[in-house]
Amino acid sequence: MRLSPYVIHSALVGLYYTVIATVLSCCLAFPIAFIVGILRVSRSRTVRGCAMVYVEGIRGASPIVELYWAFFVLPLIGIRFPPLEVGVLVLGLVGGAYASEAVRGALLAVDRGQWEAGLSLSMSRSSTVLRIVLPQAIPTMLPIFQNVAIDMLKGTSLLSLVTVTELTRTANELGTVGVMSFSSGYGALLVIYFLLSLPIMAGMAKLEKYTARYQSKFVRRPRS
Amino acid sequence: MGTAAYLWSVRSQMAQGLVITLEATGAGMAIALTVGLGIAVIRVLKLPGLSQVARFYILFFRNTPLLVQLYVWYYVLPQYGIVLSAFLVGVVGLGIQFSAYTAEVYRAGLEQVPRGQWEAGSALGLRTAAILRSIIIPQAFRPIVPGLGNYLISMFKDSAYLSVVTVFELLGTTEQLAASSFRYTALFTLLGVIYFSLSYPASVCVRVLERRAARGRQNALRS
Repeated sequence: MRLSPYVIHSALVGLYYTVIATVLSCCLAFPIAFIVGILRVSRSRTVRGCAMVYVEGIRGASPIVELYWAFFVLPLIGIRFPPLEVGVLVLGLVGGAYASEAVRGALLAVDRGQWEAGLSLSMSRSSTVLRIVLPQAIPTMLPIFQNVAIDMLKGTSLLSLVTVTELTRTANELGTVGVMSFSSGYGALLVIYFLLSLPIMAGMAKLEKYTARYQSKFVRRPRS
Repeated sequence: MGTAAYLWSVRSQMAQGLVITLEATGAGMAIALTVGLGIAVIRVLKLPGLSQVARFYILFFRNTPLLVQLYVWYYVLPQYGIVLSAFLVGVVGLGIQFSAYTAEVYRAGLEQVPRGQWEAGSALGLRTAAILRSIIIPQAFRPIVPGLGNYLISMFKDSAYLSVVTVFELLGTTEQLAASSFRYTALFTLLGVIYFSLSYPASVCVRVLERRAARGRQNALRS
């Protein structure tokens, strides 16, 4: 395959959209995860229930199905977004649902005594959660956050099916045009995704080291 | 034709798609369970060289998109003379992808078996393979059933990817019907309902199994 300017340009555009889609999806997913995760341990059954409906609903079908649904059905009910925005929205909601489970699990793993300590100091429930419990819960959440972040990266390849010109679609087009053979092209694409996942893992490892200072003996950690 | 009437009229095609989905899930899981066990055993036995390959295998297939993996299987296998139907290609893709996940589940289960079991086996003069087969694996199996169950449910949902390699499972059938009838909303909503109504009860069952396994472990520690 000749690395003509056309190929290089396409590859760079594809890489740009892949990276942008990953970053934007993560920026949507993690805040949602914290909010929903905290709501899931709320005292109000209604709040817990709504959050549960969101999480279980998203987990009920796979992202590809939800992406197609959003792409085909939302315009018919009046919500018209460009493909990239629709894709980022769906991926963000999916990632948020899965990551919120991590948040919820981590919050529940913090020893009950910490909650009681906060309340006995007459801190409001929200203060207790945010300033005492959550920091201790963060190291427990991070491994699953890493998986979710990598799932966001993998999810961007789905956006190729809804006309976003990210890496997978670029490979599709280059192969169709005849510039590269499908087998070697998709093989190279796998390697590229693998290489893109490495910085995510490295970044998460750094984050785990940084938050290790919040590691407390008051958290039930799963025996790994 | 009203929406409900239309959906009723396509029920046989949707049912057919569902059958293909279930077949793909079952076949894919069969591959994932066997290949995953092999990989996990390699890792647990810490075989030189092969262990590293196994670790890389797991990392590679977990960090790359299933969609691209399916494309690779679809285009690369024929080049090496392996001409399979689209369905089998999809099943292979699903199975290999999930084998990376099941390998980790198996490994956790195998490592949980107390060291004493291995030593007892070798004290009885058994070779490693026999120890594994008769002593370790049977004990490792029960606690990991919920984990494997979760991946079975995930595979059921991810069988939708097979629509991309021209397999007419649920999503593929839905797309086909929608393209000809333009009833996107009804069909895709039905699709979501079908997936949800099958995967949510299953995940509730898995959660019950998890809780029972956790309780069992606590009881064992107490006695």
